[in-house]
Order: sequence, then structure tokens, then C-alpha cells
Amino acid sequence: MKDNTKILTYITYGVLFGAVSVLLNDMREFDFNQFEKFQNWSKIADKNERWFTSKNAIEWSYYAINAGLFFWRGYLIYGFSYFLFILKEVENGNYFSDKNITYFKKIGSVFISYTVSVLILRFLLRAIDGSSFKFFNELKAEFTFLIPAGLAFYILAEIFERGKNVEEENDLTI
Amino acid sequence: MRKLIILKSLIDFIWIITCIPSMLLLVFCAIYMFVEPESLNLVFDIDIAEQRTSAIAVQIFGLLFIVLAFGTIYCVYLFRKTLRYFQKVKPFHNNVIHNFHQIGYLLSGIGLLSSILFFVAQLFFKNEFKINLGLSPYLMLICFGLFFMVLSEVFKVAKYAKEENDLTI
Repeated sequence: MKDNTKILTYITYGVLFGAVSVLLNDMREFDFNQFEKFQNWSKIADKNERWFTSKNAIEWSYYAINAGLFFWRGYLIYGFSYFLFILKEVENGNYFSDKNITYFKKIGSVFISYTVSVLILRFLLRAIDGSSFKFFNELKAEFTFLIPAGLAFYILAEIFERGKNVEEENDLTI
Repeated sequence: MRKLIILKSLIDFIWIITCIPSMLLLVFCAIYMFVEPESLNLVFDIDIAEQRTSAIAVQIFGLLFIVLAFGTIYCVYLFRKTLRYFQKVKPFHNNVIHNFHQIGYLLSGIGLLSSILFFVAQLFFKNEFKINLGLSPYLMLICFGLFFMVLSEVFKVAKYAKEENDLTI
């Protein structure tokens, strides 16, 4: 088992590192494109127009929603990082520790909250874009996997809690 | 336990809506690609007529991908079966451990084979030498496979503890 745990730890480190670098690159690219858009807009903007109805306001809300999407992606990566702590505990032989139970619950909550929030943000983004929002298409993309995975982690937390109780009872009996 | 019911319903939903139709579709594709080899052009994004490689090579690749897809569906089936044991409040049953172990091996094998096949397919059919060092679904499959293997070992430890506990008076 130690071998599997070690390989998984290395792969998790790789995945986290890759995910963070992809996220940073996307953010930088988005920021650069948005800056160019603002620059172009400032050249043709009508200064007498009210701010709330201006294209600027729409652009800013688009910017804010995208920033929110980036935040949630970062949050998902943060959730993934808990795997490292779990693997460390497993490697130390503390399979049913309180920490593991908490980490499993946290991963579950991160997965579910990410899915729900991103779905709402994407809906808002589509509303601003004016393009159609297809609920099932959005749900199909990555969410079919994340919600069951989140629930599975909650269940794993419960099972680990049961395992912990069994282990405690076992340790108490002489 | 309410979460377990929701998860079981979701997995059942995925099984009925996605897996069962996919199995039928895969069987159809496996037969149709031998009847009409040019249909593979859509899947591999190549033109068999212009290729130097024979249609049989493409068909073998197609068949291998179908086998891997069946393997993934089998993993969903095993997971669904495991959830039934959780519902019966038997989380440390022998079958659960065995299923997790099997899912682990299958998922890591599928992930590894898919990445190799994808690489070879790119090399042979498109003459492209492409190595994906970033995040890919195949890497995630390998991760999940290893995670299931670790879980099966942890469950084994819990099973022994439970057995010892049951034996003591």
C-alpha cells in the first residue's frame, strides 16, 4: 500500500502544480485581453452616457463574474490539496483519524459548493453575453462527475467515522 | 444516510441515462466500423483513403478504445454494486474491498492504456509527436485508480479491526 500511496502523493503534487500553473496562465491571459478591451472601449466611449447602462458596466460585470469563476477554480484546487494531508495520514498509519474524517467532509463540501456556484456564475455570464444557457449541457460538462464525487466523499467520511469507532473499541478491549 | 440515497439515485441516473445507452452505442460502433471503415474518419479526425496505414490498423485502434470504454462502464457498475453494500450497512464487507481493488486496477489500467493509445494514435495517424504534460482526463483516471486501491487497503484494515472486535467477548 505504501507504494501506491507514494505514487498517488507524487501524482497529486503534479496535478496540483499543473492546475495552479494553468489557472495562473488563464488569469494572466484573461486580464491582458480584458485590459485591451477596456483600452479600445475608452477610445470610442460616449462620456455623456450614464454609467449603469454603458457598455463599461456590462464589461465590468463580465470581468467580475470571470474573476469569481477563477476564484472558484482556485477553491477547487485548494480542495484537492486536502488529498495530500489524507495521504500523509494514511502513510503514517493513522487511517481513521479525526483529521481524515474532517478532510473528507471538507473535500465533499468544496466539490459541491464549487459545482453549484460555478453553475450560477455561468448562468449569469450567459445572461450578460446574451447567449442561451442550456442547463443540462452545462451540467453535463464537468458537473456530472463532481456532485457524485462530493457526495461519495461525505459518505467516505461517515464510513471512516465508523471505522474509527471500531478501532477505538478494539483498542479498549483487553 | 440521506447523502447515500442521493448518491445512489445519482449513480442510478447516470447508469440508466448514460451507461446503458453508451453500451448499446458502443456495440453498434464496434460492428459498424467494420462494415463502413470510413465512419472512423469522424472519430479519429483522419481520412482513411489518404492514409498510408491500412484501415485495419484504424479499426483495431477503434476496437481498443471501445474495450476501454466498456472497462470504464464496468467500473461504474462495480461502484453501483458497492453502494448497495453501504445501503445494507456493510461497509467493510469482503466484496466492497474486492470491488474497490478491482475498480482501482481497472481505472489505473484504463488511464495508462488510454494515454499510450492516444499518443500512438496521434503518432501514426496524424504524424504528430504529442506529449501532454498537463492535466488530462487519463491522469485523473490513474489518480482515481490509485485512490481506490489505497481505499481498499484501508477498508481491509478496518475489516480486520471489526472482526477482532466481534470475536472479543
